[in-house]
Amino acid sequence: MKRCLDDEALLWMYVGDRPPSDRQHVDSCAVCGRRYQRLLRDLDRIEGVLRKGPPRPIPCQHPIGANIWRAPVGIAALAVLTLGVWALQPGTRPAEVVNREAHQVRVESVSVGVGAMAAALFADGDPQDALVAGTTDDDDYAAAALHGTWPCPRREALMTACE
Amino acid sequence: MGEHAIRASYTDLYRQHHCRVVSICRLMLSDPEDAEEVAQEVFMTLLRCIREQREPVVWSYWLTRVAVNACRNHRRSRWRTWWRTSRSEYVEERVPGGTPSPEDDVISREGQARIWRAVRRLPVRQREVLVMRQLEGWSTEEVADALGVSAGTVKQHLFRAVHRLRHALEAGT
Repeated sequence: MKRCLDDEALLWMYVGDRPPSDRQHVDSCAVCGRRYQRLLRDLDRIEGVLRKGPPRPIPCQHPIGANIWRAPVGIAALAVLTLGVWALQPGTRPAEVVNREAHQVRVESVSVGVGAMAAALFADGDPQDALVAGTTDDDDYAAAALHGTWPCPRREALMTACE
Repeated sequence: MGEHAIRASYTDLYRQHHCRVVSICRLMLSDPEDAEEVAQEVFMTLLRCIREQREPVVWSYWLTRVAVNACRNHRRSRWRTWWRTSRSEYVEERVPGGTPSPEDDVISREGQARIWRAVRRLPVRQREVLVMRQLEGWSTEEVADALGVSAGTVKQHLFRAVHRLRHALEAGT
């Protein structure tokens, strides 16, 4: 006796893609015959629903609907895309990223200038001498000036002033 | 053919096939407004065809084929209606044009909506095969010829479409 067909095989038979022997089996087998009749009945019911046309769709009534995420996610994706395109353009990069070395050079030159100025301002004698000769404490003056504190290169001599 | 004869012929065909064409378009497109729009396009094509006296052998066959092609073309430009349809959901209200059948009493309203949601998720080809083969009663070879695919492909599409719809039907039972 031929083995009974499962639901998928019955459906394949319905669409016409099974050998005639399967059809003969279904005709002779009560179990398969009932299942095939059930398949046909289901198809009739589906066809009846489809022939009547779809229910009328209406706009979503729920303020927090299933698709409410679409708008914010779309806006966020657009923003990320815009930022990505903007960041990839050389002209729009931040200055410190594009020209970090030039920035470092500027900082060093300013430090040297401030150091020289500080030496002149806090010199004991003639400020011109300090500028011309330079001192070994230039770095201290510069550091003190940059930090907004009073330089005390010779604390013993200027203890009073410093304090 | 005189203008009077053209009008008479067109009116006759419109009365015979309008509901069926709209039904096909609704099945293919889901959105009723789009379906009505495409159905109008189909009948405009019909009118031009009558005027040019390019009468096909079987009008019902010709109209189905034109409707399926028009729906496919419409779906290609469907992105503009994506937002509207994606924010819609089916309600229980029924569209006019069909007569109540005993199946309506058996299948719950929720079940009917579930079947239509399953149809909406079917790929376009499966919908086309389902309409032509299952609802319009074309043979496998006719569908294959109309869609430009092999008979085996038509069977596969029909199998998958029916399998999904039957699954949707059984989900609520």
